[in-house]
Amino acid sequence: MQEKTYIRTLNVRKVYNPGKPDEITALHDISVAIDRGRMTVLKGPSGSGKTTLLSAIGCMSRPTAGSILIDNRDVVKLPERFLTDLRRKKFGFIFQQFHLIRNLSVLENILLPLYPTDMMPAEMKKRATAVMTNLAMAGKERLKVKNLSGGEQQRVAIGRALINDPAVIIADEPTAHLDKKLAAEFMQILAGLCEEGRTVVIATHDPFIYEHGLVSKTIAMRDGRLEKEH
Amino acid sequence: MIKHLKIIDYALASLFRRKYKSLAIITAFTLVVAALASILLFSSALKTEAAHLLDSAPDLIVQRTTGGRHDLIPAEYTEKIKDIAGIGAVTGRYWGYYYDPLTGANYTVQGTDGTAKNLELLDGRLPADRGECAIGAGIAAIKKTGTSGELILVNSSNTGVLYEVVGVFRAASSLLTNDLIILANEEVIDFFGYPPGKATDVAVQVYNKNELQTIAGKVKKLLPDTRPITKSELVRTYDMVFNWRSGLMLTVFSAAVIAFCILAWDKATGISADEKQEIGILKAIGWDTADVLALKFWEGLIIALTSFLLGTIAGFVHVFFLAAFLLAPVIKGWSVVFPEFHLTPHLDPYIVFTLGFLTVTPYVASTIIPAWKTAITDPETVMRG
Amino acid sequence: MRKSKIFIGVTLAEVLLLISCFLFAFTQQTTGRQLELQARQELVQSLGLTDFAIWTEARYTRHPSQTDFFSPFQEFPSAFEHFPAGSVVAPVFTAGGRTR
Repeated sequence: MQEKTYIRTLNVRKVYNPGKPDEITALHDISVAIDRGRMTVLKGPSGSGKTTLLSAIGCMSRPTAGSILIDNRDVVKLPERFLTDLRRKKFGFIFQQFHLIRNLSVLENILLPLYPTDMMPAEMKKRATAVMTNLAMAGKERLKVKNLSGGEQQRVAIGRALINDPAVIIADEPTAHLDKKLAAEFMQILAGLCEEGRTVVIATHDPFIYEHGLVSKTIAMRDGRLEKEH
Repeated sequence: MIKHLKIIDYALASLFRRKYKSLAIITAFTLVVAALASILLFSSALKTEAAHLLDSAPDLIVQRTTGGRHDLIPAEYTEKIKDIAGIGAVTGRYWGYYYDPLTGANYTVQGTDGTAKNLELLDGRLPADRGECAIGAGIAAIKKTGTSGELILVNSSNTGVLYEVVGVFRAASSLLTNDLIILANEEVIDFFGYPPGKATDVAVQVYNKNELQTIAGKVKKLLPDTRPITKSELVRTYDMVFNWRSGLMLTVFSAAVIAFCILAWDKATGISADEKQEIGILKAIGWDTADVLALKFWEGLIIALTSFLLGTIAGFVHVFFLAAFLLAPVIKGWSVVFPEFHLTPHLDPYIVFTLGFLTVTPYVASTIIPAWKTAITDPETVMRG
Repeated sequence: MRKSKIFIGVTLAEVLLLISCFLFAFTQQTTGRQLELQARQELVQSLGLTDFAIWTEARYTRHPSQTDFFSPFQEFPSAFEHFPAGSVVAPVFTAGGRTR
């Protein structure tokens, strides 16, 4: 039987520019548990450290101190290439600014994580088609992302996050550029992912998200410290 | 393999995203390589041609010097040289310069003893009698004369002498004969007013080529006021002449090369905020540091390799099919009577490898190295900016 | 992988073109120009030539073997005395062939 907790942080600390005049501690001994197959939200105002914690959980940056256990495996001390491998296989990221490559097409953006793999192009295309169909983006493969609307761009970002069939979806302020309707659509998509058994972690200060009924756990943060979990 | 093909795909897509800039770099790079290749191929072909042709030249030329200056050589020196062991034929050469004030050209007047048989590269024949001459194609053109035509030259007594042109050398030999006027030996002596019993220099044939330096030493010892010049010294001198000519061009050209290097360096090392963020995104979504560097490697190689190949081919075509028309003004200088260059195509692999190494390697390195620092940084730090 | 295949195809074509330049040069040297080279070598041997007819205005390039140790003014009338400018830049002529 699988353990309920999929990701756990133990006394994670993150200090930027240590020893320099502009040294800043973004995270102070953070210990949280993220449940498998559930939607967890990190909420807090700007500068509360939620994006930093998200990056640490997603193996995008190493904490200065503490441990991060993913499926009971401490990843903090792993060599870079193992972390990269983990990122590619286990995580799908949806960034606040989407961070799509603007002059590439929808298909090229979605396939980006698969370029440095040995997967055959035919298989890649098949996967992309399935993902795009699920996101109602079928038929838009050749369009340049710079010509898409905000909502469509976000779907492309979601598609890119899903192409590797990840166990964890990490989203940083996903509704920052969306109206209420699109935000609601987005939450529906995430709900579907949870139903598939994926773990979703969202960092946001949007009450529409953290007060949503689909959210299992909310972790409040302020100034790099935990406020409360509920 | 599949992975690298896909990375090449992405690299090409990256370059197409900034297609005008990429095209400008490729164009400039190709022109630089083409110019370098032209200069190197041209001078290499000239040197090879020189070595091949001078293979048949006399093994040793003995000239006399008086007061450090060239002087005519007495005929009895010929007999003394003949006595040295290992020496075959010893022949006095009679030749000199002739300045034609009407055309502003210098000609070389050379004597022949009449024993030379008919030559394939000569239309007509060599002079057999006095009053006859054979001339180079350049002279025929500038004096507007030809076989059965006339040539008037002013001798050392300031008297005009009329010669009948009995032969004109073909253009294919113009590298050797373009400014030549061949007269009988006696005619040359009279024309320049050489004192009797003196020649311009002496051509010596040596049986054993390995003994050439030794024999040259013996000649010098026997006749201390002479200067023996070996064939290899001639070839080396021509190497030097072509080297400094091409070196002169390279020096003039170096300003353009440096400007291009600055442009390429600026483009490749000024890794922009956009590029940094792109690397951060790639790393965040699962690209390894090695994958990112492979991407940058291919981006650099695509441009450098394409430019190198196109530039080298263009240089080859320019030199051997288009007679190096762009280089000719620099190579020519201002010679009034200038031969056509019918160089034998010659492509030295060493030149190609050197050119490739000196052009492709720095460009690829200047694309990878700036990206390396960003590629090894945590993606979160990179994306923060 | 279409773009990469096109690039590889184009690059291979360029490499083949370069190789054909090598082959062309090689065949020219061994066959085509061989006869011409032989004819020119025969010319050199018959007339006892030792120098090329290029840059006829400067002794150190027309007959480099014969250059005196000191040879200003012995080249072209009114040529620049110094090397290498004298062989690159022409002296100034008037129409009658006199130099200014």
